[in-house]
Amino acid sequence: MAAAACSPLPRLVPVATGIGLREPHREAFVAAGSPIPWVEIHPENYLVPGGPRLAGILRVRRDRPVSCHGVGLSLGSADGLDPDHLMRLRALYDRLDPGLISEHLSWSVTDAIYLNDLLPLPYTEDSLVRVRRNIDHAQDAFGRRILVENPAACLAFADSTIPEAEFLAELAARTGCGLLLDVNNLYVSSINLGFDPAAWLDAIPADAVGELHLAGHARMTVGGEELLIDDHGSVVGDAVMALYADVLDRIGPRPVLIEWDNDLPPLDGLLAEAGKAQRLLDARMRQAEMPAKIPEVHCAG
Amino acid sequence: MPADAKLAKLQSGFAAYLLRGDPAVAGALRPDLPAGRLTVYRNTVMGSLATVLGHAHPTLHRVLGGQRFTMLACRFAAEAPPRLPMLWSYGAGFADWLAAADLAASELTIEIPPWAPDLARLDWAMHEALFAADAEPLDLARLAAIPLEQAGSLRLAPHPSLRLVRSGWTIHALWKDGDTVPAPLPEAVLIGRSPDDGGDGTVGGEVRCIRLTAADGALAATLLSGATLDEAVGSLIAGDETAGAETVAGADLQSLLALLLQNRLLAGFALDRPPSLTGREGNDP
Repeated sequence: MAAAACSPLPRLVPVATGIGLREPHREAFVAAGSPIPWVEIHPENYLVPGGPRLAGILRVRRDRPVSCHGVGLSLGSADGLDPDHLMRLRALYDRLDPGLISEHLSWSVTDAIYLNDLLPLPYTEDSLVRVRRNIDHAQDAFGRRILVENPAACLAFADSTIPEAEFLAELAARTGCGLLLDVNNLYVSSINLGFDPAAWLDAIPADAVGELHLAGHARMTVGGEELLIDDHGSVVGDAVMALYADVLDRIGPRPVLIEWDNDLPPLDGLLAEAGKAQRLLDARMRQAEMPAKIPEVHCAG
Repeated sequence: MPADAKLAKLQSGFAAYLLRGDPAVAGALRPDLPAGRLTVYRNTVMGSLATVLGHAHPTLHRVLGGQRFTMLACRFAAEAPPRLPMLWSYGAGFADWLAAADLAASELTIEIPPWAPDLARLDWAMHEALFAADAEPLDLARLAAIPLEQAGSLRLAPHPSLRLVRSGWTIHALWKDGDTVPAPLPEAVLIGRSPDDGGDGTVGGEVRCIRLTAADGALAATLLSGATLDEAVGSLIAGDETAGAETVAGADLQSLLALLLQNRLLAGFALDRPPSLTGREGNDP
């Protein structure tokens, strides 16, 4: 893989809590003096020819490391990846020089149609081969390592033969990609599909985990049964916070992100959530007597 | 069946459910999980596409009301789903779809007002203008340096964000005030992002939406399609073939140029003149 372009900007994502920076908060974030050590964006929102949105995120990037969390690459597509989209992302990454790049273990493109959701994959040997090839393709095109995130699911396929955590571990082992452990997704899927999150965590290679995500979820009644929906529309629930603490105990401190996409609170509300996550992170770092440093595993290059 | 073909078939089936409610994919699900859970994904996809279309067409959304807009948006999304994983770019075809939609035979008994397609075009033009490429505005000093006798051979280079929407309805008033009842009177709306230095070295920019008379709209269309000023004036006299003589009568070239310059909606110009050793002049963007 080619080396990422050199940049004088702060690049590496620190072991600290960041926030998913959404457009309604962008100006307030800069006006407040960028009051959080790093931010994460959805790169697709900035694949625009020009204008204030693109200029605005480049302005944010002058002050803070940025992580790019893709939602449209579709690592699980049977048709392979769209080379045009890979090049668009590559161009943005060359410009932003993100400290982390991540995508999802899911699919959203089929027959040249983009379905704007993170759709579930059957976990089979065939899928493993396809996703592995797609990750190789993406990492080659970007010249950077990516992190792959566990999805939130409410259904699964009869053909699935590989447990999700093993599927992710295999991908990391075979492609060199890292993992983005979304604690909320793990909790939501474990309740909806009925599996033990502790057993799931046992199968995840801790060294491969480069980032953690936290978010709120909703409870919804569908067809008479209650499901958890990963809607990123509220504070992080107590059960997810407890699982987050367990994850920190198991794998150690990592960059942590608060995601909030729907019913956005004022920026202060998001910062308060980040503060809660940071306090747990601080406690674990003190326990481990670990100075705030930037482990090599978090470099995207 | 080859491995990828099997996965491709599953994904096509899933898409058919999401867009059209085709239930065949339910047979591939884990049997202990209710197939009704598929609706969670369908609601997410269709609901978020309607939201995306609403963000790109805020005036139409406001005027039609959320429920009516969402029903139309979901119908459009099912027929013309996104092709690119960049949702800011989704919705370019919505106005034309509204103009052509034949909902009489469908279960969707929603009347589409005759001005709705043009209002959607106005919304979309503003949306596109926000994301258009950046360009330095025309340097007025260079323009002023052109000898008067050569002014007629100027061709204007619009800012990349510049759009012109010509309508048979008073859509600008509707854009300004959603309670206005649109009248069937022709007009045009000029839309563009006025470049603006954000003050800290970043490029800002505000999207402007300026009403033109139908005559000025016809003139603007001529100029923005690359005509020289002389050619545009000629169209005023002769009557523009596409617009019709009656629509260009009363157009005011001077005011239109002033408006484009004041709002910094031009990015450059080219000067037509006989070939010379020094070649073409201007400051093409």
